[in-house]
Amino acid sequence: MQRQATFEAGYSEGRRESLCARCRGFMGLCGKKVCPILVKARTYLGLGTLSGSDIAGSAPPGVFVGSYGYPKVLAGPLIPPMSGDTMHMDSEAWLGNSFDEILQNRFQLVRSKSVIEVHSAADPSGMLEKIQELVLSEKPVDTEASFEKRPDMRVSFSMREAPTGPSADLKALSVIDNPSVPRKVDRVVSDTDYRAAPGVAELFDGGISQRQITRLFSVGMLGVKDNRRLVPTAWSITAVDDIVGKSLADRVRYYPTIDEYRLYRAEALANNVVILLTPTPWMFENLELWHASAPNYRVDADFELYEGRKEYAGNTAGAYYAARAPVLEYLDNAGRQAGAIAFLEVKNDWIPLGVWRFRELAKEAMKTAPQTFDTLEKAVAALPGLLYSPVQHWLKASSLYRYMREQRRLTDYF
Amino acid sequence: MFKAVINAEVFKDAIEAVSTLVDEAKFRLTKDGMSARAVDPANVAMVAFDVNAKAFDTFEATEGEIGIDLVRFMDILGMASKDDKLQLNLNEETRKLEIRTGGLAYTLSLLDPSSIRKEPKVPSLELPAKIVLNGTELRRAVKAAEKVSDHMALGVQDKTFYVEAEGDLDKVRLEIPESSLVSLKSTGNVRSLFSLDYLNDIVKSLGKAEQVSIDLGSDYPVKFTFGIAGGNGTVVYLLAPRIESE
Repeated sequence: MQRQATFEAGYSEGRRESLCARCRGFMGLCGKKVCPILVKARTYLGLGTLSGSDIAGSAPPGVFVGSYGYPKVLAGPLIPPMSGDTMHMDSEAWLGNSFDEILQNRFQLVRSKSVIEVHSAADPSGMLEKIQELVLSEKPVDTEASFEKRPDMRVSFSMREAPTGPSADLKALSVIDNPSVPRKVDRVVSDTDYRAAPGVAELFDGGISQRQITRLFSVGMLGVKDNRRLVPTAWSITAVDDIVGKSLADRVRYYPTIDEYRLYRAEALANNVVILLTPTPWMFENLELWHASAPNYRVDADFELYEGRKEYAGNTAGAYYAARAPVLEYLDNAGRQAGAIAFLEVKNDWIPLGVWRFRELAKEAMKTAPQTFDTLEKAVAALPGLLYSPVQHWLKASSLYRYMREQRRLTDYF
Repeated sequence: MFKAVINAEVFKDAIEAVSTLVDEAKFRLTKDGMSARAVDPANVAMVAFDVNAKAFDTFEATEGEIGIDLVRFMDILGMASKDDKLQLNLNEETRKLEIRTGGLAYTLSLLDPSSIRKEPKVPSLELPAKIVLNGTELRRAVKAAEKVSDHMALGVQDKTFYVEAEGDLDKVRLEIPESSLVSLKSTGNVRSLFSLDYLNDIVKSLGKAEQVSIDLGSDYPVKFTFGIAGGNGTVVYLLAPRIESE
């Protein structure tokens, strides 16, 4: 297996001892006073360039909307202390990057905060209007901001969002550039009678990056005017994954099914994703295993059958929707229907970077040439070579695997 | 040509028997009534639906086929009140179905019948057990089973009909002795396992029936038969089993 250096030499020792995946970076379960990963992370903050309480730079054009205090939330653009092409800092196209590079990208962005009522998105003014203007752009926008105080150097990790760096209360914000707005975005955003879900689907079909759709969704620029809200970044990521997935599934359900079993795979850093496609009508299951749960290997699972699911996929949460969308996108492009089981594996040297990892890895996996099999048994027999953990734990947790083996068809009885 | 008048609720309940399983279906019209055969995309469940012209206040039709988007059709039928009359009229020129009820006039675009999944062949099954019971009993059993598992067994043991579901932790069992059933005929003990996902759809319609007859075997498809439209129609569901494997 190809091992990528997750941290510099000398750091591996700390990794072995601390196993931050154990507490997933939140609670200091390893017993150390200071989490070594967080210490490491802090060194990437652009300390030198951030001495004052003012900042000028090209915003990527990222935005962060918090969930704390909902419906009065903290929202504001992410601004780096530098100019030029900064799109990569908020792109989520980081599969080829190391932990160090990803953290470096994230921690150079200063998260500006300003208290905004979520409902004010129905009739934006002041700070929110400027934030919305910035988010419309598909290119970095030159921005100046002044803060109440020097940015706070704490960093935070979350299961769903990419990590965030220093933050500061926003005093004033000015957008210097004219944002470059794709025509499609302009049309959907300015239509205040257009519901959010079809709006998201149209933008996605129109080739607008999912990243930008999520930002627009998050700052309340989609939907019928009176219903527009700010949506905390964490929720908007999954909402957009879900809407995109559902709209694709509505088409995929009518395509002819594939005629063999297929296995796809992609891995990067401490994550491994395997997708099994089956010659059945559309159904989907998401299985997630953390190596930190060894030797019992706990597998979390959620699934849906042909009709789709009505309740939130509470066991695997955002990862379910993040992995489902790219599989459906692939099927839609191929004009074929299939069932799918996604195996998401998280190894021990992992620190939480956000749910985008699974979306991008699933997308990457679906680009590879699959191994093909004529029976489910043969496909499952090939799984041990693709996963780093014992297959029986995965299969035991999988409802769809059991369903596919057990469910007979009426055509078997003619 | 197709022109008919019928009680809105009766018609809605009848159509629901099909719409619960598939999103679109081909209805065959004759001078004696209308019928449909449809199978779900996974070939696991099938419905055969027949309504006699006698179920209608007036019914005139010539031989033909119409393709209906059942999701939209049910939406429209949902707008009718319980005692409303429903007037159906097929416009041959526009290939649209005109639906009038309670002063509302809808025009439903029909689907090209050739674009709808082919009608299934109906497997001929010789099943050793036949149970007749009230539909609500079966619906109750399915609802109870759903709380603990995603599949459920139907069986007959020593002249007692039972329904059983076993999840990872919990188990539920409902037993109905012959004396509490309408009738039970069985040449021995039988047991088959079915997906609750399908049963749940099926009992939506079947749960309203006074009498449902269940033809059952061991590890074999089950057949549910019940009357609709006041006895002037029948619905048959076939459902393929799950076979437990080690």
